[in-house]
Amino acid sequence: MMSKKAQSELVGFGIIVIIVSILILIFISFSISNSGDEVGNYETEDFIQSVIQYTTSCARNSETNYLPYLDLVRACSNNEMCFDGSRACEVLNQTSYLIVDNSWETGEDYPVKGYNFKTSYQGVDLVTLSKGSVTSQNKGSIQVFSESLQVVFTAYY
Amino acid sequence: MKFKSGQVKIQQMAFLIIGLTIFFVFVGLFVLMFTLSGLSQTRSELERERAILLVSQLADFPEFACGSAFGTEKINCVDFDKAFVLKSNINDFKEIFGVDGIQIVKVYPESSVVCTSGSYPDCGSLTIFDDGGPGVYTSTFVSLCRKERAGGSFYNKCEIARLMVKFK
Repeated sequence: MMSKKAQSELVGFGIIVIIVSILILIFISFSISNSGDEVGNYETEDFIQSVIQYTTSCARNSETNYLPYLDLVRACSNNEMCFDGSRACEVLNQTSYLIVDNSWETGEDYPVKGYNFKTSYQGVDLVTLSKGSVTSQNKGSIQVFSESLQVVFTAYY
Repeated sequence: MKFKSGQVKIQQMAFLIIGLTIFFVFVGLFVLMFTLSGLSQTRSELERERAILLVSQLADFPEFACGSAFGTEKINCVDFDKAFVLKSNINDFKEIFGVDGIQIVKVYPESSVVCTSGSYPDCGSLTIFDDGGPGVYTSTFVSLCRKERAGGSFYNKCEIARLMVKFK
């Protein structure tokens, strides 16, 4: 009778040990994975901020009224032409490609393995650029402006 | 006889508990090692992000910032004209920045020409100062704006550059 009681106590103790161990492991892994998510993405944020302020080669109305990137997106959406006769959308695509490609050295030999860049206006994708490979480690930023104008950039490491 | 069988079972249970405890200790150690290796990576990543944030803040110093000189108030924007003038008076300002070097490198449009009074503004690299000592440059993207002359008038021209700051 005594041994049975001791046995049942030990079984109970064993179950408690197992449950506590599992809870501790879950708590540790959860808290550590949460702390990793707090790293910011200042570089990609600064990049988008610089892109939207860039003075493009598309002028409107006069020879020197060059449009900033954000205004060029709106001009492209309205199918406008630049002062020199080129189409706003052509300039937008070419400018976006040159900016992103010059700013982010991408490839197997570089820290950045690939990127995605997208500019959309009122739900329509006007510029979509991708290069390199998509990996599980990435940093990205999104900036949303009035009239659902969005600029999204993600770099893959 | 009954008492002995009970004792054996208690012993078995005791061994089982000890075995389970050792097992979970090993699993715990393995998980800790795995997560700690990730932690060190996160730490270096966090340090880099902090350095980038400091560079970003430097761009908003009045000695560099565009303010509202180019139409609307711009953030993360360096006034190229201010920065170029600052280079020749840097000894009066070095202490304010508290860093070991500052450079501005144009990213787009790219140019390998070093900025001097002869080449400015058609140049791509401006070293405001560098103490020559050991250190690592950390950089982030900024808008590099200036007043450009075309015909008889001026317009605002903003390009993309990296503001590079040296830390020991």
